[in-house]
Formats: sequence, structure tokens, C-alpha cells
Amino acid sequence: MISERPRISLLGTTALLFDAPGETTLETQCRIWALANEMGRLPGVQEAVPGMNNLMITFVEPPRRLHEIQDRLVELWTSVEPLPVQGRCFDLPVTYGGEGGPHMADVVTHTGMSVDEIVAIHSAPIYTVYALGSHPGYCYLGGMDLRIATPRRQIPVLRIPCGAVSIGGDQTGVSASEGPSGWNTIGSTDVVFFDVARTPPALFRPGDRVRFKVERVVR
Amino acid sequence: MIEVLSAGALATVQDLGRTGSLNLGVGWSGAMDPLALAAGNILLRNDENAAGIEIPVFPFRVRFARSTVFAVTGADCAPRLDDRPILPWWAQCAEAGQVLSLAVPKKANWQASRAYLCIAGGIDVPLVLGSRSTQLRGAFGGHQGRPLHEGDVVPIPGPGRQARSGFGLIPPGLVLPFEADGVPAVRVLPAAEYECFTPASHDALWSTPWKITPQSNRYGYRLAGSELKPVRPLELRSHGIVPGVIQVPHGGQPIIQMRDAQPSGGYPKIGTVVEADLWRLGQAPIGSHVRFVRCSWDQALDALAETRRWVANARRLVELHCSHGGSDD
Amino acid sequence: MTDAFDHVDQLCAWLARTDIGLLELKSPSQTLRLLHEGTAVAVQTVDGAEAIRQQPPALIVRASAPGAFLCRHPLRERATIATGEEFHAGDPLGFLQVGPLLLPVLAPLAGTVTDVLARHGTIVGYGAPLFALQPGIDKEP
Repeated sequence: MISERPRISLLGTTALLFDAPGETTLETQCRIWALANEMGRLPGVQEAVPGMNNLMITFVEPPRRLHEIQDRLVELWTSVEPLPVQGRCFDLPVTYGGEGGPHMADVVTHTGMSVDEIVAIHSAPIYTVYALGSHPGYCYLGGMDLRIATPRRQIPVLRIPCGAVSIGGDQTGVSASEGPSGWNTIGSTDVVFFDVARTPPALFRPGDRVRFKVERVVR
Repeated sequence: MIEVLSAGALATVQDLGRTGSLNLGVGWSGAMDPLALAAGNILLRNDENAAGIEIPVFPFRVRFARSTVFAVTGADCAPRLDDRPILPWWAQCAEAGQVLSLAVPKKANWQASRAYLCIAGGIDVPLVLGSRSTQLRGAFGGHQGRPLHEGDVVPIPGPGRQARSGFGLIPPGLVLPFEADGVPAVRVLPAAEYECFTPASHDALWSTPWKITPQSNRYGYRLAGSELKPVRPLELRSHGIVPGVIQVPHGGQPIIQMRDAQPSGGYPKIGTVVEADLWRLGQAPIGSHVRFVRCSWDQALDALAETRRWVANARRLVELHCSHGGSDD
Repeated sequence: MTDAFDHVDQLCAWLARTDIGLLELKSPSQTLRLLHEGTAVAVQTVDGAEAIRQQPPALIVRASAPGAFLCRHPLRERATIATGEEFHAGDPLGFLQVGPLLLPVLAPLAGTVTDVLARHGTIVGYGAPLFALQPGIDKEP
């Protein structure tokens, strides 16, 4: 959904959701990061959690006067300086298709492209980590070529393994642990994304860059 | 320590949740009925956030290695100490070697499905990212990041606590009823995509009962009922979500995200169950029905204040009773 | 030598000034029962054989706090104890509800319930009579 102005909506009494206007861009994401930093400093805010060109604000206590925090969000959105993209660069070796890519065929059907074309398009860009979410250590990546965009599945799959490389709508990401997923899994990687014994426990941070390296293509 | 003699699936150590790590993709987890956990802790003069064991499947049996004061709240599961029936929602003393048995909850004047075993001092597992709740997806926290099974030994603090025994609390489920046309209900605030659904979908959401299917658990409750249809197909960007969010995937059957839900998602959201009523959902049995009642922001906050008042009152009266030389078994 | 039976009138007058409810004078052949109710004292003569058959007076268990008297736990359908049922010392006979707090009404000794004196759900004051008990021999729990 593309809107002209930012949209603020409720997530019950637990949180607010701020949705940035326009298409999903890295430039907007840089402003979202800056907005998250500012909002996270407010005493009534428990956590400011970036998503894909959006921001969730969880409350310490839901305020009676909602408009104060809503006004602050809109105000900061217009005034905040976007944070620069600053991070490390990682190469993720991926085996595309085969057992680790059970939904490659669905992406082929939807896009009308061959496996090799899909692999080439998926592994070409340098992706930016926009945000973490979904499950511990999972990264939402920006920069996927829209030619391989494939809608989320009608019925989510109950168990997708750790390291599953998937496409959901116009986004791509890698599972950091086994669990259910509504995305289309096209490959797999062995990298460990989250270790609670590490400090910080997550491998990636927003602003880091990722490249998918083609280890193997199983047709 | 307490030794698990038998456990059904998904008995986990939980406190009130792990906040502050959403930025790592770590969801809150925590008790599905936070009111019952808090009440059990209040009975034992623990911090409300002390960890207990959440038991959704029965029977469940543990042996106390030494004399322990404990309480079983949540669903009335006919608790027995050795062969003797004991009271639910009651501060109870167990002697070393005694066995606590919990059975399948029977239909009572308040429907509930999960029980909470609280211990004086709280379950003594390490804090991970600030909480003792079990993070099932990430396999950390609680007891080794997984559900309990037979043979597990769960650590509890040493003796010398201020807990007393021989008194109880009335379950809030009996005194804070909320129903619509005789069906247990929860209050809901419309979410961002509410307006994108058809008027018939709105009617169905508010006026029809929703059945909690067997494919429901701590991650989410899959509901069965009328089909909810957006006016046109929606494809959203991934965004943060919280427990209570009612998502509507392509099939048109809603899923309420619960305590172990992913902290972000991309399905359309028609509404969110308010925080004040999440404990009611947490106790709703598989196969039961629930109604959604639309409320205003102020009504939602009023409901939250009501649950907070119940907790504060329970704490005040328990402390008064215990400090005036309250009864001991 | 006089015995107590010669001084019944004096005993009645004395009893009327106390808050003792019952005074029994026993001899092998008869028992004299002075019942103090309100301001009056009634005299009952019970012959020897009947006195042995009759039971000692009941013990009253009273509310230790003001609250709602409950004859059963709110999550239970049956009363905790019924008239005629036996109990051990320390057993809960019923409950007192004070807001969300639930306190037990505990049996002070072993025995049998002879009467439930308050109705389930009624508000009672401190000291209100709740149960009449017949003390009995403490059996093994």
C-alpha cells in the first residue's frame, strides 16, 4: 500500500505503528532509523522498532492523551536528519534450489523466469539490513530486484529450517532459526545469525550490507 | 529443586515477558495469563514478575525435593499433594518428597485451560536478555530454552523466604466477567487495515462468535468462522506487531498473534485485542468460542486500569494478612 | 452438710450475672441443668440415665475477621463440610472472603459439625457464629 502521507495506527493499547509514505526506499529507511533513535529516548516509549519503512513504538504505559505522542512522531518525521548507511559488509554463501529451496518452482511459475535467471537476479545486489524482526537475529533486507517479487504463500508452511533464504512479496530474507513462514524459500545458508551467548547476540545490525554468494545451484 | 515426574507438551518456565529486545527480533514470550501468574506470585509474596511454570496440557506431576511453599493458579486442575486434594489459588506448604499432581481442568463456573505453578522465591533459572521466559523459537531462556519433560530438575531458591501458607485468592475470572450474548468476549481496537475490509467482514468480526481451532498455541490462535475479505488483495511491508494483533492471511480466517508470535509480520491486520483482555484469551480452551467487542481507546485503558486495580488490591490484602501474623497450615 | 442441689436459686441468680450459657450439676441419680438464655435461667431436671445419653454442649466457631462467609470454595460446587460430617483439627470448614482474599475457617479441634450457622454468601462481622461443632476423639488423620 503506497500512501502520500505518513500513517499512524494503533496496535491495541500496546503500541503505535508509524508507516512512512511512498515506495519502500533506503533513503526513507535512513530517516526511520533516525526517527527510532529520537523516539527511543522519550520516557513513555519502551522500544522503538524499525520495520520496512515503518516504525513500531511500544509504550511503557499507554497514555490517556494519545495525540501528544502522535504529534511528536509527525513532528520528528519532518525534522529528523536521516542516519547514514554505516555498517559492515558480509558475504553469505547460498545453495540455491533443491531440498533447501522447496518453493523455487513457485517463484519460477509466478515470475515466468528460469531458476538460473532468478538466482542471478537474487545474488546480484548488495542488500542493506533495514531492520531486525520476525525472530531472533532475522534481518529484513532491502534492495531486492522487483522482477523476482513473489506474493507470500496462501497457507504458511509450518516448519522452514534455519538458514532458509526466502522471498515474500518484494522482500527477501534468511531464517535465523527453524519455524513457520509464509515466504517462498529458494535456497539455504549455514551462517549463524543469532547466539545469545555473544554480545551483541545478533550478527547483523541495521545499516550492515549483505551479498548472497552462489555456492551451488541445484536444478 | 523440583523434579518433573510427568509433563504434557509445552509446559514452560515463564515470567511476565522479555521486553526490550524487539530490536534483535526477540519477541516478548511470557505467561499467556499474566494475571494468574501475578496472582500466584502475590500469594507467595514474590515479585509479580517471578518465574513460574505454565502448564497447558495435563496431567502434570512434580516432586518437591525439600519443604516448599507454592501455589497453583489459572485453571482449576484438581491439584493433589500426594493423595490429598488441595485448594487451587491457595498458598500451600509441601514437605520434602511430596508429589504435586495436576489433572485435566474440569468445566467450572469459569472456563480456563492453563495452570500456573508458582514457587516461593520464583523458579531460579538464569536471566537471559533480562527475563526468565522461555524463548522457544530462539531456543534460549526459561529451562534450557525448551518445554519441560519427565526427568527435568528445575531449580528453586533456598528456604528462608517470607512466604506464608494457608490462605488464597478468588480468581479474577470469577469477578471480572466479560461476555457478549453469553459468549466470552475480548475488547478489540481496529488496526491499520480495518478499513480495507468489506462491510460484511466488519459485521462478521463484531457480531459472530469465532471458534478457537486445535491449530492454536502460544504462537497464535487460528480461528474458524466467517471469511474476512479485503476489498482488494493487500500486500504489506513487514512491520512490527504485538500479542493480540488479529491478522487475516489470504484464506480469510483470522489468526490472533499470541505471546510467542513473531514480533513482526506482513499480513493485513483487522484489529488488535487490547492488553487488558489478553489474559482472557490466554485461558480460552481449544474448541471454545470468543466474541470480539469494539471499544474506544478510553474504554481499553479503563479495562487495563481495572486489571491493575485487581492486582494492587490482591497485593495489599495479602500483605496485610501476612504481616498481621497470618495463618499457617 | 448441704449440697449444690439445695442452693439452686442462688446458683441461678449467680449464673444470670455471668455470660456462661449452661451449668450442669450431676449426681448419680439425677442431673440438674441450669440454662442461661438472655436474662432468664431455666432449670431442667434430667434423670440419671437420660443425662448419660445426652451430649456435652456444642462449641461455636466464630468469624476471625469481617467478610463474606462462604460454605464452599468459589471454584467448588459442594460445601466444604456438611452437618454431621467429621473433621480433624486444622481442617478448613468454610471460608471468609475479604475482597479478593480468601481466608479459611479452621476447625480448632477434631469433631463433627452439628450446625452451619451462617448462610453462604452473607456478610458477617467479626466474631459472628459460623459453625456449631461437637468435639470428638482425634482419630489418626
